[in-house]
Amino acid sequence: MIQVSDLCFGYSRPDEIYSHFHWEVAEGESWVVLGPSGCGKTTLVYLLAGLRHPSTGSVQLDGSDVIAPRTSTGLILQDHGLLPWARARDNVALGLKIRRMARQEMDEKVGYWMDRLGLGAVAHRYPGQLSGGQRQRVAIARTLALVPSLLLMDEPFSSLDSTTREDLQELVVALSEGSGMTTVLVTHDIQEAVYLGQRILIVGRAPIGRYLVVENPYARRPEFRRSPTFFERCAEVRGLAAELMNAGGQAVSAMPSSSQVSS
Amino acid sequence: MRAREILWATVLLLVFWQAAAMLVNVSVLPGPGVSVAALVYNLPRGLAGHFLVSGYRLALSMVIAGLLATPLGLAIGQSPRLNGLVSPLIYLTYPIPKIVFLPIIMLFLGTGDGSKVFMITLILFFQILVVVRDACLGVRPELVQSVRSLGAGRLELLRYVYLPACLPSVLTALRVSTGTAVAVLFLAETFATQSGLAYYITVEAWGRMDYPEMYAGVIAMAALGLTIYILLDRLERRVCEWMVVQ
Repeated sequence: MIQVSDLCFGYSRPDEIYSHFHWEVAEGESWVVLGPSGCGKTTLVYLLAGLRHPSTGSVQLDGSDVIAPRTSTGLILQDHGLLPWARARDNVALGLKIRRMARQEMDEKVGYWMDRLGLGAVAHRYPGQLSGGQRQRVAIARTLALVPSLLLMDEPFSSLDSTTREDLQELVVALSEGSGMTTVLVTHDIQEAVYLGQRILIVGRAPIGRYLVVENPYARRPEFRRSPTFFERCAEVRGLAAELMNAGGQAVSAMPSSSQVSS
Repeated sequence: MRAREILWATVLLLVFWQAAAMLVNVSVLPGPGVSVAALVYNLPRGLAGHFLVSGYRLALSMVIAGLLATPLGLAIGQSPRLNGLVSPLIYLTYPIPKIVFLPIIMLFLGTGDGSKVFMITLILFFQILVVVRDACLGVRPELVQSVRSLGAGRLELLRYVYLPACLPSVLTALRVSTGTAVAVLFLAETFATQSGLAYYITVEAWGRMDYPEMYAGVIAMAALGLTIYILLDRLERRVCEWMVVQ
């Protein structure tokens, strides 16, 4: 599905954010990219979405270089990315309008996703009249209405209160389960990473070349969040992230059986 | 602003005016009662025609300025290269008081409507251009990237992001420029013309030292500015509803 090969990228020379970075994601996998604020996680999402281009190396989706936004890739951002001047319903319809979908089909799809995400009562409200959680629901509905095969999420729940955050995390799990959709979520929140990522990519400070991958097979199960294993796994991931940070991007010597170091 | 609040402010102004007229007690400052009576008397006797001519010049200038400056501001605001080329020119020409070109414009375009409309358009054009450019530059990159990720190209970004983003700025610029536009119109209509409210005030009324009639013209000019201001305010509330809803 995703193949990142020898990726080098920086906004200005000589400061690179990615340096000879390799990464592969198989179809249907649920990945979480975990790293400190400002390390370049958002940049990775933009590169995967075709909104930025590698300096050297390549980013490929399904064997093709990503040179522009693809119709089958959905993107959800932390600040929702909603049009402040469009009502909730029109925001959900935006991607379909851009793709010039027939009016009737569009109305049906928008109605379905508004209902599915519990937005029926606020369909005629502007984003400024919605709560943070409702705004993010609108953003999710807008993206899922396009039926993406790859869903990219850049810290989508970080500005929400803990109850709304858990609620939306479970909603994302429910919506993506069984859909075959590949998901990549970027976060700096360890608990979120451990709950949502079946595979967790831990990155350190830029330039990112080396990383750790943690296998996390119990992720996305509601009972896992309350279990002792969850908190053990959080502690383990926290330790690995700290080691990677302290190693300054160099190889990490200590690693549990479930993790691997890549370069 | 609600109609009741406007009415209240009008009454307050009339009270101040009446008090000032009573205090100075000279013929050059008649009270509002006499002036309004002169307005009512003179409206069907030529004043209404002057009002319409001035209104036409003002409205036409505002429409032309909006139609020219908005697309250019959008283009500059979206293209860093064009912005780099045009912004130094704007920086240099924006602070120049355009009214000083009035005699030159009249020499080129004559003393008819053309020179007056051109003068007002020129002044409004720069004000709108600058706010539209700045509104475009102020659009959050995250919003643009988010809409681009939905498959939007340049045209869709213009339609769904940049145009609605700058619309409140265009209407606000037009609204706050109304006073300037009326002032420029007044100056332009005092030169070599036989129509318009400024001609009526300075030549027909002032020339005959008919002070109540002169104040009738002043009230008509104020009403013209206020009407345009209120219309723009209503339009802004209607098309930019998202900014006023709670």
